[in-house]
Amino acid sequence: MRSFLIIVIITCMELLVTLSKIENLYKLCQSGTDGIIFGSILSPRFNYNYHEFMKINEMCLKHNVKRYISIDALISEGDKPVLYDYLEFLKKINPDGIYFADLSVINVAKNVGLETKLIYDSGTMICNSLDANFFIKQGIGVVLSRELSIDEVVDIIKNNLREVDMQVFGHLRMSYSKRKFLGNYFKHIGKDVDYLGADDIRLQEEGRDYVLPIIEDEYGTRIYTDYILMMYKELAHIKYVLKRMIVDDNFIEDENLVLSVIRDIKRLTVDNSNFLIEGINSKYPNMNFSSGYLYKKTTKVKEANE
Amino acid sequence: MSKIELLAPAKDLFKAKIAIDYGADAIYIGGKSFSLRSRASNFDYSDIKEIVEYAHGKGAKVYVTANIVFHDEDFKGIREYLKTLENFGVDGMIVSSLFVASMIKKAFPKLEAHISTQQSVINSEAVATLKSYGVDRVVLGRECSMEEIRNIATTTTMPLEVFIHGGMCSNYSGRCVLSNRMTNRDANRGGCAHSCRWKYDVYKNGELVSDKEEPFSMSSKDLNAISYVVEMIQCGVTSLKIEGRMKSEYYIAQVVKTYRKLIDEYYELGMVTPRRIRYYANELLKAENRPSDTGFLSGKCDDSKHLYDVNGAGVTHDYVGLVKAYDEKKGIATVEVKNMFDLNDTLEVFGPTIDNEKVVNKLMFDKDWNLLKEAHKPTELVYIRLPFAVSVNDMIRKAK
Repeated sequence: MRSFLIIVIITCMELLVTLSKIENLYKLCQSGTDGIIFGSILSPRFNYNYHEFMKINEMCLKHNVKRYISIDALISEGDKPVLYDYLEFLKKINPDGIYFADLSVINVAKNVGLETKLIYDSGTMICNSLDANFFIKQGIGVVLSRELSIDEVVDIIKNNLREVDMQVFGHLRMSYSKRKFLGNYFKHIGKDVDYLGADDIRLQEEGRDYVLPIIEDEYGTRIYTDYILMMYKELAHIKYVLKRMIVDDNFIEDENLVLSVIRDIKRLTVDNSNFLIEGINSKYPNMNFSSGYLYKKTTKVKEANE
Repeated sequence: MSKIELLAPAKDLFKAKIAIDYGADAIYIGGKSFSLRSRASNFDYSDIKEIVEYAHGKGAKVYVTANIVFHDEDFKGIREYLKTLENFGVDGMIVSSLFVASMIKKAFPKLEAHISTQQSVINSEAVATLKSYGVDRVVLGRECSMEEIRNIATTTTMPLEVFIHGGMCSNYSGRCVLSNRMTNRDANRGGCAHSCRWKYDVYKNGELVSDKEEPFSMSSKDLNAISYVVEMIQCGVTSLKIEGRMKSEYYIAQVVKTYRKLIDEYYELGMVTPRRIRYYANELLKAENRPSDTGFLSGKCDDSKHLYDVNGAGVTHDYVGLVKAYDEKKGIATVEVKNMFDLNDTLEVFGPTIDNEKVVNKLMFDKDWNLLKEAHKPTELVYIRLPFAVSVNDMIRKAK
């Protein structure tokens, strides 16, 4: 990892956690997290109904936990009115931020006066300093793409100090499709499987020993990494120069793991990162923790003879 | 009403000229850098200069792809590259980076900035966002239905480009890094290993729920929008795009020619009958290399749009020869062999100015004028007697 001299005032970094299961709400509100990411319509990840949504909203307000709304769907033309209505609704509840994946949200947010809340999280499209800065200059936050090396992350942060968000824990999303892969396949082979919204389905490619979480809902299908990104060591160096850190609890059964991670990241310093890493590894020896792409730079091209 | 643009891919200089000669209004190519099709034998500066001059001489346009998702290290040389292409007279750049698009608009005003399908733009509000950034054209995501395309086109003045033919990403373009995890190749920088087309077992709560004989796959049929072209023209789409920078000259020629003829027929007659649509659909089968379908255009994408057990060709014809010369006095064509064919085979010749002329191969010689019964060596030159005139780069095929 390239050297990184921290000369900024250590104040404004936030630690956020996603809320995949509403039953974890209370504990997460009391976990020390600065904010919770959740959503409703136009959010495959957090498809909470109105009452659940309002309950989360109120609980966050009660515990002084910031509220970040996820609009992570790519939005079809027919859902435009829904997007307008939803942003008007969000304007009333005045969230602390809105993570979005579809560029339409920028235009609609401008039209309804919510443009100052936006944070672009495409998952894959913010891989460089200049594209990050393109949005930041407009007052739109960005989440770094998940497939970056730590050197690339550091370079982007250097060029956009305390302006970028990053997922720092959890399974990484690898793909998003509008296609109903599971439903179509089970229909094709004539098998009745309870798949819709199920988070216990895994894919295994022939010849590989790892399995990939896959989930399908009304917006399509998403596939995640087999491993859980764990970057305490790196985070100890960069946590204060990120704007927000995101702990993603997707597919993680044990809520205590998420709570431990929040606690650890809050306590994390360069000096005690090894201690915390040893602690989490010994407490969760069967978890598939990984540094992900941080030290595995993906090559650009195929071999010439392929 | 200006005529809709037919936009074709090209892997190299030869195929680019084929695309233009067979009727493309514009071609898109990749340079040696910044382009997603890393295996395509991309164009160097001299090739780009040459094809721009060739295209402009024939009234066609040239767009160059710089559609990788840039990492910081990838920007090296981008300004010089864009400046050089602008000086060559390249008409536009196809990019996924909004920063690069904005740089083009500020610093290289003679170049148009087209937003790649890598951005997966599928609604008119996203188009409006991009319009506010000053881009010149948006390539819509292949997830749009025809109805959605119509609604977007009638909502915006932004020129829209729509894919009509060729391979489909199974996932939203640009939103997939399966290849990064599975093969350590960056899908968004030209390394896509097409992991979506592989076979997978599916487990639910640890129990195998997929079929061992017919495993799970995300593989999709290719797109074939022949039956939607007229609607696309009518609703104001600017450009119809054919996918396939990795494809052969035969594929490019056949697909371009077919869509060219359909488009021209519509503009000439104001309609294309269902019978003629079926004819054109059959013409496309002659070049099909994977089963095709209408993708999302019909508004649904069910299991019939997927490939589970079949990845093979549905092609009805083999490309057997490329005309290199024609001696009108002797009625003899010099042909480069592409695939095997025999004496007495019924051959079909097509080209920019010749439509499916059939001939029985009655007389064939090798380069030393020895009689041949079979042409079995690819790249070999043979002489064939043809009872009609042909031109250089006309193509010969035979039914399977």
